[in-house]
Amino acid sequence: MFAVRLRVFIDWHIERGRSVVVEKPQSPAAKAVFDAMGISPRSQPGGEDDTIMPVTRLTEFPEVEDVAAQTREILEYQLTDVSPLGAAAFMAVSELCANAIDHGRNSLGAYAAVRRISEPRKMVTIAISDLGVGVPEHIRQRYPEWREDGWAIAHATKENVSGTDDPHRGIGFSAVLEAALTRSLHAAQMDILSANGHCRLGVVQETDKVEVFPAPRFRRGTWITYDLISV
Amino acid sequence: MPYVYALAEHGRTLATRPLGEMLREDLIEKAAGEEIVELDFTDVLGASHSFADEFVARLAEEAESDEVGFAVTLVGASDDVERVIRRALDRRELSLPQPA
Repeated sequence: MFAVRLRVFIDWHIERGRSVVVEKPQSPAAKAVFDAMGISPRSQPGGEDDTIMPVTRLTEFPEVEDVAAQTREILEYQLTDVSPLGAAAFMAVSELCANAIDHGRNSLGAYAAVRRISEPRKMVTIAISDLGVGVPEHIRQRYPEWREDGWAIAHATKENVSGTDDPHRGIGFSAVLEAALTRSLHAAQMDILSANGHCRLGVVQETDKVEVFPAPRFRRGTWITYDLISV
Repeated sequence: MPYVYALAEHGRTLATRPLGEMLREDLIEKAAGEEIVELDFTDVLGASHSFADEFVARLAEEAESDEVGFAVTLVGASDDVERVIRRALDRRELSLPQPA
């Protein structure tokens, strides 16, 4: 999620006509700043091989088709140690990215990244964000009584609950979790942060649970991290 | 002879509601005047729930209410794809006839 946040931050400033210079932590300029602050940044774990999809900006639905297909094919044909997660990852990327573009409309679009992590357990982690209206405000278009942001997010993840009037919409989150209810997964955990809400959806060995926490701070848009942990 | 609509020609993974809507409109136009349409999912690796709802379930709904003038059947779907499609049909309390 850090890489997604960084890319959103950079694009947001560029869109406003500001100049952005990105320095690697090892560069002399960045090192001088870190030294002055007494900070020693550690390297990110893993390497290039762990990137299934780099941080990608999505503005149109055909791009979602492409990244969902790419994610599934890389997982199923190239990364055999996590290939059983391919179907669940495909469902997550397709449904959550489409939601981000559909409900999160804003000038920047949506951002997504997919990565494999090998230690301590084999897993695939997916990060998706947008700077749109956010889940709580969207869902309150239809359910204004759901005032608390965390619980508004939790309700929005239930099947056929949607901010639209179409009774057949609102299947995205439930479809993603349904795809995780499989024996090839040890567990799945989705953290959704939006406005002042933080909702965590968990699936452990074919049973699911919902938790709501106070968000550390207000967040514009919707920020989702989804971890699929292999058996 | 049924009219066969091969989904794999449009991608081995079918992921979004807008794609489902586009293919449904394409199929309705191409299958005008046909009595039976086979939705052929051979070689399709995956389909999302939103795609399945927008393409198959809405098409089945329109076929059932005689809006499109043809019946729809499903062929060639893998277990994964068929599970998603059956779920989409269940949500709308629909089913598809088995191909002859």
